[in-house]
Amino acid sequence: MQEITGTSNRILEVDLSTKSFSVYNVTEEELRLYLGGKGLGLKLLYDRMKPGIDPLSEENMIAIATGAFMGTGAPCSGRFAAVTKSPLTGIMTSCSCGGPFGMALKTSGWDGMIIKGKAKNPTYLYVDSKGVEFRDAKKLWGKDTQTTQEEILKDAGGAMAIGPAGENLVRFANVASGHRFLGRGGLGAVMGSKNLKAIAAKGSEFKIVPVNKKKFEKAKAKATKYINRNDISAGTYRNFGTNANVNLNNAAGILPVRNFTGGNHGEAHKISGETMAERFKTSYSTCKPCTILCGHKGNINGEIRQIPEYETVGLLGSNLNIFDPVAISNFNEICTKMGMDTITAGGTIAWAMEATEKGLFKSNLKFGKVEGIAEVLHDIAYMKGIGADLAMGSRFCAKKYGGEDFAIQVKGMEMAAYDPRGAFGQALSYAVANRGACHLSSTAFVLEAYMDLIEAYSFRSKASLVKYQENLISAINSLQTCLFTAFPYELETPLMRFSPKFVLKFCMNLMAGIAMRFVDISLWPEMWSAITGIKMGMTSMLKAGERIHVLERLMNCNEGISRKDDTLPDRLLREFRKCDSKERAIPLEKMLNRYYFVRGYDKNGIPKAKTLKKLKIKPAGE
Amino acid sequence: MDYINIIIKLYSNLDKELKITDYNPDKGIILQAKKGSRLVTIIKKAGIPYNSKYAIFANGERFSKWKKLHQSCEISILKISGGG
Repeated sequence: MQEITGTSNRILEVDLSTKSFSVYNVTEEELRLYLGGKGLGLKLLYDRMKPGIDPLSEENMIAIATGAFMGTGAPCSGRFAAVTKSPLTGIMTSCSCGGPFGMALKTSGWDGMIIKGKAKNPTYLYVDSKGVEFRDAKKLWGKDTQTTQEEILKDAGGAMAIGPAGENLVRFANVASGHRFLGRGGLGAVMGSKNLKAIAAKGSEFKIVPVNKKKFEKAKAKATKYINRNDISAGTYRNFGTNANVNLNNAAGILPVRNFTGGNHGEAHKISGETMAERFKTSYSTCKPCTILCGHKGNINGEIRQIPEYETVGLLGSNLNIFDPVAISNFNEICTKMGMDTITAGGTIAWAMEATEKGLFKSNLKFGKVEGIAEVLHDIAYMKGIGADLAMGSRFCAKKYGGEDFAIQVKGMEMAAYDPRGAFGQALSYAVANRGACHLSSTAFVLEAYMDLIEAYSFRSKASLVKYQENLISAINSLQTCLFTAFPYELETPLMRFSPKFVLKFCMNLMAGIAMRFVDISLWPEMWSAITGIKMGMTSMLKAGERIHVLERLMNCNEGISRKDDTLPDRLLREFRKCDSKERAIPLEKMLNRYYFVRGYDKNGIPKAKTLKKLKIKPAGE
Repeated sequence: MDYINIIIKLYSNLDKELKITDYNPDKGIILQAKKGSRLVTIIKKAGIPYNSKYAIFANGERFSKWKKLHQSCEISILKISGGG
């Protein structure tokens, strides 16, 4: 087998309209500044795509990019990114997926792909080391995500495919790779609009070898030790999956209940990770390679199924007042096969239930009632009946029927399963996140509500905290390693492990911006440098993360995003949770002012020219 | 002397780890304590060694081990996770 040392730096540029492809070679400068994965994907689209285009037109492009860690055996590195302009939000969206397509693409000799144009007929792409074949997908059109993958995997090592939802342009259609997803923002609809049913990659043609094997193996051994020692990665995630969050969020009052009116519920334990592990006799079913093992499968009603992830359980369960894990699993199976994001599906159905209750919308949906939800999910996938409106997301529905105050979305994207009224940093994070109400831009709630390292109900230090986390997470998503490695890699370092909690808490509350500089994040840059042979330290990695985050913001600002969009739904700003012991309002404006200042944005939330210059981002047109 | 009733609920399989027999997840552990007792005293009484890595909540908020308890206070003790 041939070897690739470090990264191949080869990107396939595919034009579906002309059925042709070319090769773009990523420069060392681009790799150093944007790292790979999400960062590189954004940069490639920034250089190629004009603002203002229709996301479902052939002018929209999709960038798919693996990270430098992929194929090296680095822990939890089986991930790849996809970036496009979202048909749900009208701004950029980037997704990370742990499915097998990434590994197959990289071991076919490609670090990524850019897809443009529109195929005349349903098509799927077959990628190997020689390039791309454009294959007829007429027989696959109409088939679900899992059947489609099974059929095209006969001569491929990995695939990514859309289901009927993507074909029918459901604005939150996703893309499946194995049983993992490029979940949020409607990438599936973008593929559907291009008549692109799937992409398969042959894989196993190249072996990926780090430039400095000795240094890499040393860092890898340390990383593995940290993962296997950490209470979160080797404890709660490994034992109960991401649903370990159900009981925790319920206790912390940040579980979404009844369209974000509750905060907690007496029946939440019925859908917790602990209950599911025992009831469904779960075993591991994860991304590959994975050391954490948070993905689980189990025996549900005599069938081996993937256990729904926490976000699915939160949005298609507690937020609809449904506490039946079998029903939630059924909804999850429909979304999996149809190819739909469970967060937006759940958020939009919750809006429909409340709008129905208030007489604004006609449906038979009702909080706590399981009957009717499966049918509506199918109707959404096929854009039938009320499904045709719900397929556009809650922002669209609320504009058409009313009820904007209880459409729980930001910038058009439905909120993930953490009620920000119990973690003010998370409120800021949702308001300013680039792709909408995303929980993966900054995970402030973990430090606020779970770890108690920073006061949850204070605005102090939140801007610095959110900025730091956004930069770090943008970098991790560009290295394309699992975000969950952040817990062991940061918390198991000597400084964090042996510092008394009250000292950490004191520093975090009073001077988060300075305290964060002392957090040891060296494992990531150590591995990246050993793999690529390009020197990178902790500061350069965070700087790259900042560059990637600000570039995404700039691209969104070019689409018209500004301060007016950095907000929260009225419900979260003006109503209190049922579980609140006292009334507290989220001090969003105060936090926003500070956030823009530390980010180098102007008062309207637009990155300043000097910020762009400092980060070596050229404004469009220069 | 006034007494108050406290409920302690354990999650993350802590009851099994701490070998608390006859633990009922629906009812939790019901304890009677002197009025004004602090959490740290109560959890010791329930046979739960205090661990700073546990997340302890009452009424939807973090609860300090030094805080005084009140009548019918429901305390939840869990291991932390990291989001989904």
